[in-house]
Amino acid sequence: MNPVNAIFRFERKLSGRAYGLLTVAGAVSMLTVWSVASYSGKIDSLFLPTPAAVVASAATLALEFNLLGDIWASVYRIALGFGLSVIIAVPLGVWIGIHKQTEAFLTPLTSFFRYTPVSAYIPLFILWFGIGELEKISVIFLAIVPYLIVLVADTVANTKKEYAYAALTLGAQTKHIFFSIVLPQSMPGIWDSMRITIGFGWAFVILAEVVAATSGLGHLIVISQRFLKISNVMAAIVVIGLLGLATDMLFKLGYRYFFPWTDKSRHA
Amino acid sequence: MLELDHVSKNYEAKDKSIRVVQNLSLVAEDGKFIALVGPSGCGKTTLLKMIAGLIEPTSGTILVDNKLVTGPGSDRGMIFQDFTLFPWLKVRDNIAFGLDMKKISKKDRKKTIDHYLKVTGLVDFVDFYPKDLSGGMQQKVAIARTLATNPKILLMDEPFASLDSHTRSKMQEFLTDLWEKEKKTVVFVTHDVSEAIFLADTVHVLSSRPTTIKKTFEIPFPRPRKHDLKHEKEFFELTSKIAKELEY
Ligand SMILES: Nc1ncnc2c1ncn2[C@@H]1O[C@H](COP(=O)(O)OP(=O)(O)OP(=O)(O)O)[C@@H](O)[C@H]1O
Ligand SMILES: [Mg+2]
Repeated sequence: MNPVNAIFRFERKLSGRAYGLLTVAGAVSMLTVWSVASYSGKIDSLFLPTPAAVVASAATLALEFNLLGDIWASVYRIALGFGLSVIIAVPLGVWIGIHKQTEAFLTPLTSFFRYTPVSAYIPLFILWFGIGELEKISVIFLAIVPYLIVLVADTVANTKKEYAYAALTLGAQTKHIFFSIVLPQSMPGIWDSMRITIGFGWAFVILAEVVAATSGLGHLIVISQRFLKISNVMAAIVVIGLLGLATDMLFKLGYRYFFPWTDKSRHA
Repeated sequence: MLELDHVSKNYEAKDKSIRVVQNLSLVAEDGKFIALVGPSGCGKTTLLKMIAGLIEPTSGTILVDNKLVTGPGSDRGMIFQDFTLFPWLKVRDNIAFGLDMKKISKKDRKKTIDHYLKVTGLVDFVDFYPKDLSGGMQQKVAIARTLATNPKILLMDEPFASLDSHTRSKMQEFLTDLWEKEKKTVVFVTHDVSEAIFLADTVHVLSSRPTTIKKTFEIPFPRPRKHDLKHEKEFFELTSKIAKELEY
C-alpha cells in the first residue's frame, strides 16, 4: 500500500460483507454495554430499564396505544419541514455560491439565524401560530434553512474553476457553465448537506413536541415521563434512533445511486 | 496560422504588478508541431491560457488566421496540466462534451465518439468514469475530447508530466502517431527537453520569469519517429545542447 494511503486511509476499500459485519458488531457492542449495565442490577431499573423491558414497552405502545400514529405525526412534520427547507435553501444557497453580491446581502440573515438558538423561538412561534402543525414545521424550517443555505453555498463556491476553463476551450458558452459544470459538480455536496441537516429535523421536531403537542414521539416522551414510564421513554428514543439510522441509510444509498462517479461511492 | 506579436502579461497581486511574460513573439505555421521548453514557473501555462483566450494579454496581440483572439473558441483546443476530465461524465460523454455544446446529430455524435475511442484504444472503457482510469488513459480521453471538437490548433500544457516514465514514452509515441495522421498545429509545453525534441518540428527555449523566447532550434529528425530515436547519438547531442541553453 502506498504510504499516503496508509496514513490518511485514502484507500477506503471494504467488501460489502465486511462492512455489514462490522456494522452489526458495532450495534451488538452497544447493546452489550446496555445489557451489562441493566441486567447486573448495578443501576436501578427505574433509571435504566433492560433491553427486554424496552422492547416489551415498544410492543405494548404499538399494539395497545398509538405508537405508529406518533411515529407518523413526527415523520410527517419532518418531511414537510425538511421538504420546505430544501425548496427554499438549496436554490438560495446555489445563488449565494455563484453570486458574491447575493452572498453579501444575505450573510446577516443566515448568520443571525444560525447563531440564535432555535429553542428560543419556540415560545414566539406558539404565540404566533398556536401549537398546531405550523408551529412544529416553522421550528424545523428555522433549524435547517440557515445551515443548509451556508452548506450549499460553500459547496457551490468551491467548484473547481479548471473544469469551467476546460469546458470553455471545448466550445461551451459562459451561459452553459452553470448547468453543465457548476451544478453537476455540486450535486453530491448538496446531497450530503441535505443528509446532515435532516438530522436537525429529528432533533428539533422532538423538541417542539416535547414543549407543546398532542401527538408525535416527543409528546409520547413527555407523557411517559410524567407517569414515570421510563421504559416507554427509552422505547421512544430507540425508535427515533432507528428511524434516524434508516434516514441516513436512505441518503447513503441515494448517494451511491445518483453519484456513482464520486470516489466516495465506491463503498457504502 | 498562429501569431503572437510582442505579447506581455502582468499579474496584479495586492499592491504590485508581476510581469510573467515579456514581449514574446512567435509564429506557428499550420500543421506544425511547436514545443516550448522552459523552467518551472516561468509562465508557460500563462502563455497557453492567453492563446486559448482564457486570460487576456496585458499588451501585444495574438492572431489566429489573422483574426484577433478575444476569448475561448473551439478553433483552439487545450489539454491541461492537471487532469480535467469531468468526473461526473463517463468516458463516452466526456469525449462528446464539446459536440453536445454544438448540438450535432445523434449519428455524427456516435461516429465521432467511435472514431476517437478507436484511435485511443479505449473502446472497452467507454462506460467508465474517470476515477476508474489510469492517469495515462485519462490524458488519452482528454486528448480525444479535445480532438472531437476538431480544433485547428492544439494547445498542450505538460500533458504527460505527471505520468510515470514508461507510460510517458508510450503517450509520446501515441501523440506523434496521432499528429502524423491528423496534422494539426500543436503548441506543446514541457520542461522535458527530450520530450520536446522527440515530438516537435521546432523547439523554442523560454527564459525564466518574465519569460520570452531565448533561442529556437529546428529539429531535423525525419518522421515517422519511433521511440528508438531517443537512443541515437544525434538525439543525445541535441538534447544536451538545448538543455545547456535552458540552464543559462
Ligand atoms: N492568477 C494568477 N495571479 C497571480 N500570479 C499568477 C497567477 N497565475 C500564475 N501566476 C504566477 O505567474 C508565474 C507563472 O505561472 P505559470 O503557471 O504560467 O508558470 P508555469 O511555467 O506554467 O509553471 P509550471 O512549470 O509550474 O507549470 C508564477 O510565478 C505564478 O505564481
Ligand atoms: Mg504550468
